[in-house]
Amino acid sequence: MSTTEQSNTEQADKESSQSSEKTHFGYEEVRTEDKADRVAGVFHSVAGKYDLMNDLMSGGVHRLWKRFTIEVSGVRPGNKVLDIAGGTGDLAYKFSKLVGDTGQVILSDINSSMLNVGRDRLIDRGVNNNVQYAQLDAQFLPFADNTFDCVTIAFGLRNVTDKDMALRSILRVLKPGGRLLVLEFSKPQNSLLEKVYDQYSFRLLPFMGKMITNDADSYRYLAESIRMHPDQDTLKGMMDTAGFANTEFYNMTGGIVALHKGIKP
Amino acid sequence: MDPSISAAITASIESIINTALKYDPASKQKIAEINDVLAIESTAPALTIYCHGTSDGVRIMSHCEAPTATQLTGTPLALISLLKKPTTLAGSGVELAGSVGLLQRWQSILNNLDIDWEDAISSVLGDIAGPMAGKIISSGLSWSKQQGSEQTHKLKEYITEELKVTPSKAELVAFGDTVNEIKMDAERLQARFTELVRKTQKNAPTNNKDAQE
Ligand SMILES: C[S@@+](CC[C@H](N)C(=O)[O-])C[C@H]1O[C@@H](n2cnc3c(N)ncnc32)[C@H](O)[C@@H]1O
Repeated sequence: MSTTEQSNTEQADKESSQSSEKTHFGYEEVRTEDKADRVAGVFHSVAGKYDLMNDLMSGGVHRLWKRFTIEVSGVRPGNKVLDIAGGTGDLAYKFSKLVGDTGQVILSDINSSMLNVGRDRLIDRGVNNNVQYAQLDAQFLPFADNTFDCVTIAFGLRNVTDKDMALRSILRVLKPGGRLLVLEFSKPQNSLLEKVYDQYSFRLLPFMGKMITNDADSYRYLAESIRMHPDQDTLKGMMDTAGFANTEFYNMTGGIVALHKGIKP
Repeated sequence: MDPSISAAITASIESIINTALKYDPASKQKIAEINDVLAIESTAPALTIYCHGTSDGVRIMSHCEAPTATQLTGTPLALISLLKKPTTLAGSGVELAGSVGLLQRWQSILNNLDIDWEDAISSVLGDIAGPMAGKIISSGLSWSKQQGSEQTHKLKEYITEELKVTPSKAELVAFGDTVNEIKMDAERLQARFTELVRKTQKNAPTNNKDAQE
């Protein structure tokens, strides 16, 4: 038996023994249990150049999206904040300044490479006493019920395999009255903008990804995953279903990005 | 206004004031003690910004979850001239709701700060709304006293219209420039690459048709 045949059989065995439920990896359909590995591959591959790509991809506008997110968070001194899929720690850095010595921030990510880059960056920027680091999956948050005043997930939810599960898990760890903020790519509200944006993300993004990180596939995945992500109303509906109250969203840069907010009742 | 535009405006104002504060530790200290939120509402363009002090300087927001202690409402010109000089409210064209003490604290701090507001505002709005709007606003600032009300009216109209349409245009232009730069870089790179391949093939003893030519 040749090696290819062998691995094909193994694959088949695996498929029959595990659930054959499918989910999306960009535009590809993959088995649900494989999505996390594929996503991890993408972020291990881009971690080192992630910040640079972020700036180039958005022309720096991601900083403004994050700035607005911080404003809507209403985070105050003494608050406990969890940043999920926090990557290189942009939000965690600002939160750490806002919560002060009496507060606490947890920067978390499922991916060790991203988390390490984030930790190094925060330490370089002089943050040490009120930030903790945790490698965790948004779907299974290892915290007690009613722990946080605010939970954020920026450009992370679209990578999570079971988004409803993640939303329920977040609701559980929030304190009553605490808020969830989801910053994520969404649906442009203007058809011209949508066209320009399509050209940009499907042609230029993978190309830039190739030039800078030598990894066009990862950025093609990013472009595709953006398009597969639920639009504004769908995500709001998912948050309602998960049990959030007063859910609302703000469109930013014409709806290329939306900030969703929900309160734990 | 799109939150990314208002965030760009507040970020710029914040950085202008905080840059000036670097050279003025006494004012910085005074600002750090201001916990109450001052809301400044511009009527045209419609934009409300919120400010309070932090140990790092002033914080300026386009959205505020905390209650505000004082709210000022007026045109950008009226608001700026009220804030930069400790003048009285009467006849300033600005309405105030809440505590007047908070306004006075800011007035005395801003009056002492060495900021060229005309220049600052035109550069903030110039970056965001295009150089025209910035120029008109800054010239409006220094001229507004001599100009008749018709002129002021025209100016207001211009600012409103300009600010309503330009942000996304300005964004698109900036974006287009970036795209062009990258395209050109890529083309240069491609050209160098082709050149390199050509040279390598020339030097290498191959039976490649191109190399033999
Ligand atoms: C595009 S980055 C966003 C980083 C950062 N929040 C920002 O806005 O710059 C997405 C992150 O989501 C993480 N991620 C993917 N799936 C996840 C999951 N199930 N749970 C937690 N994080 C996950 C990835 O490792 C990656 O670091």
